[in-house]
Amino acid sequence: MRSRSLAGLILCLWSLPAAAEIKMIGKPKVGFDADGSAGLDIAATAAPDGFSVKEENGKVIFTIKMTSIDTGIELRNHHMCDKFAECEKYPTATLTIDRSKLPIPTTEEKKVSIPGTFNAHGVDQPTTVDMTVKPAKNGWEIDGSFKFNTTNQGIAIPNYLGVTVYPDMVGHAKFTLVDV
Amino acid sequence: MSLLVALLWLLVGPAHAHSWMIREGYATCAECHLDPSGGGLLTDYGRAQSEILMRMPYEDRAPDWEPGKTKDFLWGAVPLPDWLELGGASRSAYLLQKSGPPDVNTHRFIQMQADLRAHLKIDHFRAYGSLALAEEGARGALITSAPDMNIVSREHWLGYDLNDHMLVRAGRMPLPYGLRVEEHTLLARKATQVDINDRQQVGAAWAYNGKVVRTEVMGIAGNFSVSPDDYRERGGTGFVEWLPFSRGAFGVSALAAHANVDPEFLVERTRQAYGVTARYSPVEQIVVYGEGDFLVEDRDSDNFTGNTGFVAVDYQIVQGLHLKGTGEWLSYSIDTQADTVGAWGTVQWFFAPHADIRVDVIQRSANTPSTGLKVDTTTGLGQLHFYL
Repeated sequence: MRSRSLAGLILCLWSLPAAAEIKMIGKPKVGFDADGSAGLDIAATAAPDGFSVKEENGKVIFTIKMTSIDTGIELRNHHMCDKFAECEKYPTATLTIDRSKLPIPTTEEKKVSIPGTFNAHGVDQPTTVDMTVKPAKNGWEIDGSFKFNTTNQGIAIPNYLGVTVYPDMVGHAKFTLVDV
Repeated sequence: MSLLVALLWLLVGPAHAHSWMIREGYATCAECHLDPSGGGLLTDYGRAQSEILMRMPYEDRAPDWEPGKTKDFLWGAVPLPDWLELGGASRSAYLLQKSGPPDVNTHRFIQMQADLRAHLKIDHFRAYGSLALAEEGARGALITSAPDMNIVSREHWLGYDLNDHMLVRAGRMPLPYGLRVEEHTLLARKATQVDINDRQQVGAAWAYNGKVVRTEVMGIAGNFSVSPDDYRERGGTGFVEWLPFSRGAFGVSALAAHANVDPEFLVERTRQAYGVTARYSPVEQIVVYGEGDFLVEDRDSDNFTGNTGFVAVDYQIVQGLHLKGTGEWLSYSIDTQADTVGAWGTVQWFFAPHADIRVDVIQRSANTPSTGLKVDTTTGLGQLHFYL
């Protein structure tokens, strides 16, 4: 009797589903903020189809296509991509966190600070992601931000006709995740 | 002298300031203007933006299109060293005006402005000056004092950049109060006496331009184009503007000044003004901006208050072509002062590098309660402006 119970338990445990994979739904709002000399303020946004979320080997990877970023002025986009971020050589930037640190699933709102790795211009840099996870009608709404420094990413400090963009910037994203 | 007059007549330009550049995310002024609160000579960056963002493009621009040398001084004909900025502007206008009662019709050509400006920067030190020929008006900035065709200097100051965001200055400069707009005849600008035509004064100022806040405060020592000293104001003025996002700016201003003998009213006068300002661009094509001011007047035995302001909506149909509607008012608490309301319709076309054309139709109605006098004025004004 005891051996049959044990076998049954093993069978049950064997057939338990793996932790559900997460997937993004809907249109994300993604961008970064930068400032500079003389009060320069850049509120850059990324096209929704330039942002993706993937779960892989215990990590969650947020990826942004560099060419999807709009700083508000076409010439500035061109300078950013061609002269500084070298988008042809480094077409994406990624932010990677441990899946285990992402508080999904959850039935209540949670504010967390998660260590992560930001990769841009081919350089990995540690960062901290401040995130609010809120249960939504479908899945969970994520609102997160993190700081990065473009000099640390190996990017030269942009200067155009005497106006400098400071290297300390903030990336931010709002999107919805579901279990699949 | 005649050669100087001719040279100054050719070189022009009043300061021009465009609050609606906030539509491009430029809520602060100091990136594009050498005056940290806007107006006047442009920086290199400002010259580039006037080509990239303001002027009407007549061809499809590739993403890597760069403004050429035509953005520079004299359209690039005379290269300047890094430490020197030169500029100037001409504003010629034709005015048609009908007012009454009694019925008065006027039409005339006005050479509104013809300024030459220069700015030197060596390390952290800066020097700025302007010289102009004023056919008429600009009486508050006179160097010579002929009935007409005077040489004026609207601005001249020395400054020191404390860092990328802070500038201290001393000299003659525009008063930092309210929205700095090119429509210097707006009721609010006339009532607060801070317009950029000839209301600059001598003093010392500190300006800060940051991502979230910009401000300037100034101690007023007086307008040294008038004398004797009894006619000069002493006081202070300043503004703080909060920039919560790149297309929104909300501010407050305050001004207090005293003159032993006011040159206009010829009595002892203390004036105060307290204002709120707002600029907002909900979408790139549209900017709404405006100002409301509370006035306190103490003129010898006359003490009264007033309020004034304006609201403007600028609609950029296509890059370089603007339609603007402005409503304005000025009202006083005593019957002997006229209450005025006005409406402006404006079309402005930035048609070429360094040049724009502007047509305004202005309707004003002034009512003086104590006399029952009501005067309606309709003004048509066409302006050609170009800068070097």
